[in-house]
Amino acid sequence: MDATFNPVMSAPTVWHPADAREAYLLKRRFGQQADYVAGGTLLRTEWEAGTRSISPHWIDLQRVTGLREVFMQAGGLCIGSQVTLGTCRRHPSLASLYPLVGEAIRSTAASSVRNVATLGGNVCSGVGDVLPALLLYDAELEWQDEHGPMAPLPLTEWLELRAADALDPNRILLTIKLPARADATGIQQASGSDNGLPSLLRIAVYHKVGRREAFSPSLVTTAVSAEIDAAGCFRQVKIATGGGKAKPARLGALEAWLEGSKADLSRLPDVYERVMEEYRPAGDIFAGESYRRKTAASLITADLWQLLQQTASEGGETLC
Amino acid sequence: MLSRSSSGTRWRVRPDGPDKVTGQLKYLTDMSAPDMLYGRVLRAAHPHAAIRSVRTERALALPGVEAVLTWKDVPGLNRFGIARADQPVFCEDRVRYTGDAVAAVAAATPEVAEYALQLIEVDYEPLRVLTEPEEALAEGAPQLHQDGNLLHRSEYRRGDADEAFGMCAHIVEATYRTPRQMHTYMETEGGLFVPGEEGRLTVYSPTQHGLMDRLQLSRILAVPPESIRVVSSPIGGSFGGKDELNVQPYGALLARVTGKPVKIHQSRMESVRAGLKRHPMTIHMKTGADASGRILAHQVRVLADTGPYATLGAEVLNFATEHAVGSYAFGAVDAVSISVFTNNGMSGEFRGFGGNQALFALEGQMDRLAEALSMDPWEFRRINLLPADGTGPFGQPISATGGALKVWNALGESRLWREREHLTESGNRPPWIQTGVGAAFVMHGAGLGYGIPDPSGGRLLLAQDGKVEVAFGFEECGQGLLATLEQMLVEMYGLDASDLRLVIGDTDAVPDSGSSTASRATSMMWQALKRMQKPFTERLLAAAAEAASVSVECLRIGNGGIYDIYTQKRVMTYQELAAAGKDPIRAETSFAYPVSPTARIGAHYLYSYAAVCVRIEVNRLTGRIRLLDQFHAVAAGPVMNPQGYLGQIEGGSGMALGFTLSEDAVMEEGIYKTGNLDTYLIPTAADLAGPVEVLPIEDLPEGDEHGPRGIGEIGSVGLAPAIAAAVRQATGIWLEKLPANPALLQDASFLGRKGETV
Repeated sequence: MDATFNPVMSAPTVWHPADAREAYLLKRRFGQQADYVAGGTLLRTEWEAGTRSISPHWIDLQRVTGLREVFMQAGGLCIGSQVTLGTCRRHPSLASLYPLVGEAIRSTAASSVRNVATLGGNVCSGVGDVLPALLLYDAELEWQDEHGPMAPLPLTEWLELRAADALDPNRILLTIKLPARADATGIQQASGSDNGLPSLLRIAVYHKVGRREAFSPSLVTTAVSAEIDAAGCFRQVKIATGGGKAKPARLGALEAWLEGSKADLSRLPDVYERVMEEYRPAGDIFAGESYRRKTAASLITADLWQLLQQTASEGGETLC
Repeated sequence: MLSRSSSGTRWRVRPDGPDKVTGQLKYLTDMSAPDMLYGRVLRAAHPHAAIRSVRTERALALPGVEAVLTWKDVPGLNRFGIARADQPVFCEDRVRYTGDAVAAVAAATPEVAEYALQLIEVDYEPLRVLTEPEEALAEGAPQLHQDGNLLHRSEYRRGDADEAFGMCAHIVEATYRTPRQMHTYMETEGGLFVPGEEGRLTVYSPTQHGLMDRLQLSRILAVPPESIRVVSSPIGGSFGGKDELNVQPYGALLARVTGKPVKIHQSRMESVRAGLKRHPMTIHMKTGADASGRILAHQVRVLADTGPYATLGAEVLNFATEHAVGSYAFGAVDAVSISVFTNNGMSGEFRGFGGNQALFALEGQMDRLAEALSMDPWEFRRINLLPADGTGPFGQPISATGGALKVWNALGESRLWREREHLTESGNRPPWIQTGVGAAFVMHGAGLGYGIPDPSGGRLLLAQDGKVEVAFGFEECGQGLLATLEQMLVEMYGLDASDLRLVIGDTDAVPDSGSSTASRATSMMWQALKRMQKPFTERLLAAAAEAASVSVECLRIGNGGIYDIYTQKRVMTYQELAAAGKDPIRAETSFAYPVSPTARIGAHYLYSYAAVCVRIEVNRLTGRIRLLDQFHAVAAGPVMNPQGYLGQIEGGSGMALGFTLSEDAVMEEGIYKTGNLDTYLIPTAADLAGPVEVLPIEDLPEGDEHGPRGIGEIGSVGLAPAIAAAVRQATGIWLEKLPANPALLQDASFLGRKGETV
């Protein structure tokens, strides 16, 4: 088709499909000559840096009906892919039910960018800083293909398939689904009514490390949630990492190793080593792979250390 | 402490403030003209290459293109450079960095101009790229200029250093490296270039020295300087980065050739690629003291990467040498500095002018030596300070202000420095958060220095409409020059702001005041207003006395007009006086920036002093440093404008924080890897969240004639070494390379791991 498209002298054609199927068909028609555009914030940066060429056809997803809503469904939360990060950040149930997603969004870009950038765009980039937090809550993605909305796909699976380049490149992300919190106590905690429960300690922390305190590309992101049950064992351990060009991922081996094990300080050096092994960051001129590994390993280990400190202050075994 | 509340009515709304904060103010790069063309510059495709041929025919044939220029189209000198004109306007047969200009285009739209650039065919033969100064000096390296790859060498020796080192009880030695920092002004380079009648050309383009731009452009265009008018203010930030010519030659040439107005405004990426940066320096120092803590010997080796062309590289190096010796009375000194051409980006003038790099090293040595001696680092500095009798770093006579000891005392008594002794262990913080307090001492020279013409001057005129017109050849680049000028006239002359018309930044309208650089503008405006006060006032009063038929002894000037000193009633307004006058009432002065009676080129005479203390914390998990609290004592004479003074110290400190923690224009093989502000990271409000205390020390010795000293640069110097000292206290690790590398500050031993400490 238009192999010699020169964005300097020709304006791209911008399409405004009204529904997802129309958008999908447009994309299939133009193939690699077209890009879906949501908020366009990442595309702009890539175009300007020359890391992505400007396509002659832009398919605007912002006017596609039904993609700009946030609603509760079956105890979980559904977020349309075109909802901006700014809207997500201000959404009361999102922040209270899935606090790490709120935290991750708060530390993404700057407020002016968040008012334009969408959650769907953050997900589809494959390296968005919100992904580790979404992974922690076992988010699922609902996609549109030629035939209509497809069955929800776990985010973890999608990230694997994406890495393997095994996906229809034309598919459109419709909705990000955060399932009802399986740990009912978590919800009760989040709604602030767990006073009557037996003593159960938990932690949920998201960290983003960049090269400055705000409005920085990430070098390392981590999300950790875990509990210590009445018997003093780790429960509900969930650990996710990302940052930079690293593929966001749950550290499944580490989670399995910790789950149900005795929660004590002697395990921490092993936690550190296991993160060093399992986390796969990519180094660049700003921060090497080794720095990123050590940072993730330190932060995750430190989060568990903080959880164990709570045990100590609750009168458990003395730590340190 | 300096603050809004401590300043009372002296804290004023700056005259350019409302328009700036509401976005109403039109910068020069916001201007446009009917039927104007858009100019673009074709930059080199390689950091180092021979040009075999340049073909412009296809570009010229593109509809909408009105001119395509190369070196063949330059009527005058195809070179520019404030100190040494060695930078080609357009490269003839060789490009030496990726910002080099090969051709320029003027076209009807920005899109056509950009497309035309793509159609210019340049045949290059890539040459070996010199990426390190050491490499450029090695035998067999390609020579970038006829005189070789060494731009400048600056040496200073006093006493026999070898012998003195032999007598030292303690010697410390370290190599310090500083980054290629970018000015990151908000407004990128650009302007509007308008041809006029009879060969006149008006250049609306930001610069720190309109008359110097006019001179340089007149050489390039081969026209008399008077045929060019340079309108150069307001400027959306400069920090030294717009003092040298940037796009002006291209706009001027394109406007002359096409006969139409031409607008050029660089993108951020082109600004990064072509613009100046702070010189990256590698500074090796060896410093030794006797057992009592007196420094006996100091050896300095500075290696600066100046990039492909000179601009002010030699002057920056001279400044670095002077300040690497600085404020201490070393027994013997052996300093050798060299500045070397490479195929990296252009290095040049930048707030602090080589002092930032030198002081990071020098103050680092002070802390290391004090530690080797087990002495308090601040006390160690005091016993080694230069005598207060007016001796400068090169032994040259300087104006004695007593400022050194005053800032030294102020820091010693500061809340923050006293915290250093009893930093709470970890309190509620987890053990991997470690805090430290550190301090640094700064002595900073102002003015261009001995041996470099440094004229200044100003003019006052009662205009026909009754406004007191105040004209200076200075520029408003956001530093608050207009506000300071207005405040000086209000406070020194008793005029009201509404009586004034401030005229700056227009070569057709201003006298030669010299450049708005080197922390000199406030000093020079004060000096000029002081010189003109008596003659101008006398002329106003004489004219008023004549017009009102009263005795001149009964009159004084004031807010809105001339007053009777007995009745305190206004005798006449300035409008009435202007209308009554036969001859225009004016005063004008010209003089030179004061220099030291010395023979040392570049040596300074007026100095400001500062002492900086910071508290920081280091997160040993991530290795990241956070600046929590800072205190600055500054001795620079009386505060002319409290808001401007505070702004300069706070802003300079913010810039220094970037220099210390995050800013580095990374290059690989002569190509910028930080091409835009998504990778080149300056501090945000979140990085600068902690409190900043600024204590001005205003008193000067009796009989001092020089008044306020400059403070435009000094705030940007001391923070880096103060943070390095604080990091040492917090972690036991010395920072030797900036920006700080978090990987070197990581330690996981708090988590039960052993042997992880770096």
